[in-house]
Amino acid sequence: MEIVVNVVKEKIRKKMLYITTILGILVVMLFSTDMGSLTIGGKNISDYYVLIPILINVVNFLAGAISLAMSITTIPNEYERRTSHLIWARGVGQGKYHISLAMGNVIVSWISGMILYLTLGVFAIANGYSNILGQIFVATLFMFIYTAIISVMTSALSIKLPAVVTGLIMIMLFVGGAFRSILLLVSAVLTGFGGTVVKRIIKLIPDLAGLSRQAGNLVQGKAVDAHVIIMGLVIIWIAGLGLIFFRRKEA
Amino acid sequence: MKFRKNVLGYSLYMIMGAGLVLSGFATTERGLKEDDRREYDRVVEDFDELGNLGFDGYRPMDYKVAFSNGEKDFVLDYNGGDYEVSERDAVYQGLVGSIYQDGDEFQVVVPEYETWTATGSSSQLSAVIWHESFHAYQNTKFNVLENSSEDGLSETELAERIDGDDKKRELYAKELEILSQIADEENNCDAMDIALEYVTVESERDALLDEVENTSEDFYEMVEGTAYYVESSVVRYENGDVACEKNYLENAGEYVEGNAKYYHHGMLECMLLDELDPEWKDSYNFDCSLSDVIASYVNAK
Repeated sequence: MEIVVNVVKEKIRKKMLYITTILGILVVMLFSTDMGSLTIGGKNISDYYVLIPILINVVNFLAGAISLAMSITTIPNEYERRTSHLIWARGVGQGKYHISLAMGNVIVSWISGMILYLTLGVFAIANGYSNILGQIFVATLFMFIYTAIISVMTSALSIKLPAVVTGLIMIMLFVGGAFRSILLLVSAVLTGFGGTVVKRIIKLIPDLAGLSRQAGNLVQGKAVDAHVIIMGLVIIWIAGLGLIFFRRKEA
Repeated sequence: MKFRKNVLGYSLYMIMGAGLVLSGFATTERGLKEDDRREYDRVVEDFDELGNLGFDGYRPMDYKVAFSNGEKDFVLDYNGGDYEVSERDAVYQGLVGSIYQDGDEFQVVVPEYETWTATGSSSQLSAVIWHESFHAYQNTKFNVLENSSEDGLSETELAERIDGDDKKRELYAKELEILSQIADEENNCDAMDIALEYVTVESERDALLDEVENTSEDFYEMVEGTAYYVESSVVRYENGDVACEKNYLENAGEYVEGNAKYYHHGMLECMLLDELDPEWKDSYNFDCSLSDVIASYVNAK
């Protein structure tokens, strides 16, 4: 627990949370300004009811990006500073140590995400939509899964791979997951063996877009697909295995 | 003691994972997806309200609808309030919204909802099902494809020829401009005046086109224009006038390169015919062009 708290404290010291707050306010403000006559399904986009699912997508994407950035160096830095040796001396196993550091990353990601959602809530009230605050609050739970996927995967990969490689892989998975619909569309156009291979590969990418969509569905009172949520949790679990079983020689 | 604690922890983690994986399998959608089913239900519900839109014997549910992922088709067969779903290898690969002929039967093939929404298309999938099922209707009841000229040009070939000829292009743009007055709420022109003006320009332009171009153009305006008209009517009902105006009518009067202009032109002709005679569809057998039907009203005046 002490390790987890230390990670959170360090990230707060580095003022990452201030940056996310400013970012969040800017993004939500941008979307809350006059969007002209742009409509979706016959409804004006300035209608907050229509806008909220889009904002959820944007806010989750931002929270995911922040989560990636904050998780990428936590474990490698700890090894570099040799703080790990102090931990071993206290009889903490490598698996538990990695899990604690990753938990710290996850909690900081959640705090950042909550700040972003808080700004979303404030703007909902300001626009006279306080009736959907409850749904926005529940939608936050989807952000928890979204950012935990990014954070735990990044933490697990960072144990074995250099930061640049981890970053590249995670950016591809993150962007691919957030824009999975576009990948699906591209793969739908592809035919033959190549198309089949691409379709299989896309299935391995975390469905981050699906999670945001479910949150949007919830806010709009539409049915939520439990499968997307469960598969998100499965990915966190698999990445968790990496935290437990990946080892570093320096230890 | 510590070893036992670790073993217990790892065991619990593995059990939790097994539970999640099992739940994942249990909740995996197999066969027809819920989103696709919902879109089809919407077609059925809309039909209750809209009926055949004036086209005698048209009923979208009369035709099987295949939701395709490019590898498998999930074919939905409506059967008096309920439907059966079967699976087969995809009849088309790639992203396709079309009809498919299976023996004497015409079926509708559309992409799955998830793929369709990713295209960002302004048309909703249920409206696409109406559109494609209308093609199935045209071919089942009126053998439209079978009766079409074998020498006809493909849509793309035709569009390229017209797009590449300034005079033909200019007059087609003029036709669209005249026809679009019917969709303009602020325009108070009499429908017959619009029809007269249109028929005059259309005759002038007909003389410019060779026979194949004329036949092909009439064919695509009729086949695609009427289907697009049906599609726009469904969107108007489902999403209201503003959505229909924005997605179907606002730019319909503008000349665009490619195939879309034939859809727009045919739809506007249908709208003009609605004004000339709301009953025009009752006797329409897809055996003459829409412009011929308009001309017949002008001549009968």
